[in-house]
Amino acid sequence: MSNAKDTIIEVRGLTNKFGSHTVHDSMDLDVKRGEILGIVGASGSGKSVLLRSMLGLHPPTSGQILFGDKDITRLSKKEILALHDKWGVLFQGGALFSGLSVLENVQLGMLENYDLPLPDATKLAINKLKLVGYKQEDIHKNPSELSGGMIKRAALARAIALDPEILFLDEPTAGLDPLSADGFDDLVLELRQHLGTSIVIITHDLDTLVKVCDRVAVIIDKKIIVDTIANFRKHEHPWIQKYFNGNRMRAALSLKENVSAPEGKPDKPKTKES
Amino acid sequence: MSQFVVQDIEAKRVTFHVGGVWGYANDKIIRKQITQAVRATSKKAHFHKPVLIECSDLDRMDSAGAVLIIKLHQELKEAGFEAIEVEGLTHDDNALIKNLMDTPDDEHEVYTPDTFMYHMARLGKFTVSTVGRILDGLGFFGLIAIAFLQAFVSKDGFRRRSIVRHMRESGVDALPIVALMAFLISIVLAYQGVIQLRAFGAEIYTINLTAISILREMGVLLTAILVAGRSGSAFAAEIGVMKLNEEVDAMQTMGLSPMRVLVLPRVIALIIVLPILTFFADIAGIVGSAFSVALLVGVPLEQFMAQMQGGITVWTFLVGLIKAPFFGLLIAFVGTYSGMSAQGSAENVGRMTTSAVVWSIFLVIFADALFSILFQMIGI
Repeated sequence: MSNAKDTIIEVRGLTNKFGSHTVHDSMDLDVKRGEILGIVGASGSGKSVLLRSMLGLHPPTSGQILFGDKDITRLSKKEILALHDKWGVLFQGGALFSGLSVLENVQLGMLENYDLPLPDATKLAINKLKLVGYKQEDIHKNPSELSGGMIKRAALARAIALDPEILFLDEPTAGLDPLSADGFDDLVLELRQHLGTSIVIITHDLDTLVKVCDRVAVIIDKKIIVDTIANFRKHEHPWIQKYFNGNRMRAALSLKENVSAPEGKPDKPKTKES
Repeated sequence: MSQFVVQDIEAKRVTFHVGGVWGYANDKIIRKQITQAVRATSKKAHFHKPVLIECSDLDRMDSAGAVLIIKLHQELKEAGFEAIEVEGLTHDDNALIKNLMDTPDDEHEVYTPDTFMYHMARLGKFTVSTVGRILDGLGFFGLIAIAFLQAFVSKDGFRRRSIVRHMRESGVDALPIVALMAFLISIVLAYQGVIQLRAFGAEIYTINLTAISILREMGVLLTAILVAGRSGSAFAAEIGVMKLNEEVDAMQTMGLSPMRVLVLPRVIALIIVLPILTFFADIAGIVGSAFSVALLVGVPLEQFMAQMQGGITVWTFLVGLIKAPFFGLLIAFVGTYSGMSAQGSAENVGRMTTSAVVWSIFLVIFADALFSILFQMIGI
């Protein structure tokens, strides 16, 4: 492969303005190959705008977003569409196509983009749906018949249908019960193990942040700061202090220590050094 | 075109060298090459030899690639080879292939839609659901009536602001298009009338023809159809989206009755607005007729007025106008009912909106037929 670099997305000097309101002011961000990066920030700090910029859905006011050797901000609509097999996106509400069944939703990309024979596309789609925990009898349901958790799972199956290099998850655990959210976290870790995918997660769920993310990017004062949770706890910025030393964060951290202290996650320490 | 699978026929065995990137992007080419390679080897009848699928040159394989390896294996088996081995896969790739082989097939029965029974079943389902909807609709009509009566005693009354808003949206805003349409239709009528009546030298009766047809039927009917397309669909879509958003449920939990807040104002607004629109349509129609008769036959306005007064009575005008509030009621009823019965997905809202328009136009014309019979019977 031409881009053996260990960075999959480079954001350089990204600025987004809406009228006179500046959301991002010349921010930089690297997403490394194979890592799980969490993006946090206060409501309205521009997490979704950042995501939409990275996906080429929202042209930034200025700045570069390098995906491999291509600058997404310079690509035409058509060239962005051609990147479809490189990334998978889980939108906040799932965004399943309401006229199609779950199975058809997952098949769609395979059939439309690669013209796979239907039986093979079905097999692959069922495989992906099993991977996210679907039961055989649920795969023909329509999105309107599904619970929130099932919709998110189906949307995740659709996002990974084409084995993307990078996966964007927008609030994957929002609105799920704690058990489902926990299951979803495990699923994300499993996927990374399985497919070696880089994953960018926008989340408000501190448990997710602690459990699955290798690094955390905090959007604050129109800039972005990337570090590990441990380092953020010592950061002097008042908002970051509050966020990473708040009661909820402490609860999430202590939970993790209790769970993983005896064994420890084998892949965690490695990535933390990087 | 790069080679993804190369067959190598040796004395003791047949080897398939698999290489390159096996994945979605190369799916089509690899499929073709697999078929070619299998065909090339089976021609030479080496079926007794063991087969080795050699994968150590594989650069990368994704799920689609795994499916292709399975396909290669399967095609070889179907061609008649017996001992097939796969070698050189990484641990992960092996796991992926195993995983895919374990994936069950889709056992879902697919309807074959061209059978007789299928169409019978469709007809049956359609009948049951239509009857169900009609009964349901009658129930909804009852609910509107109850909401109407409740409005007299409840403290927020008839929600005048809401009624006025809908009167503006469905009435005032529709005025230009309604008037224009009536004007144009009466020109069409007048042209056809003049051509036919000229044969009898009775062009002057074009005035009676257009005046009566506009006042009695066309004015009110066209207005109703236009409002059904404009406001009936809007009612269905607005309320349908609110229903999907759970806004209707939210309203209920706040102690507000959706029937009184959403449905009744729209119904009342259309009942008030449709006669007014009809009145304007009548005027525009008469103007159109006067215009075209003046143009075609050269009848001055005074003579037009005199001829028209001789041809019609006040009842010609009233007969059209009497029907308007009923049509308004029908359109608003069907529109709001369709919106309230939306459920599930955005697609359903679209379907409900379409059916609202179709049903309200159908009901309007049906009611018009009933009115014709009724007026005939009482002799006006």
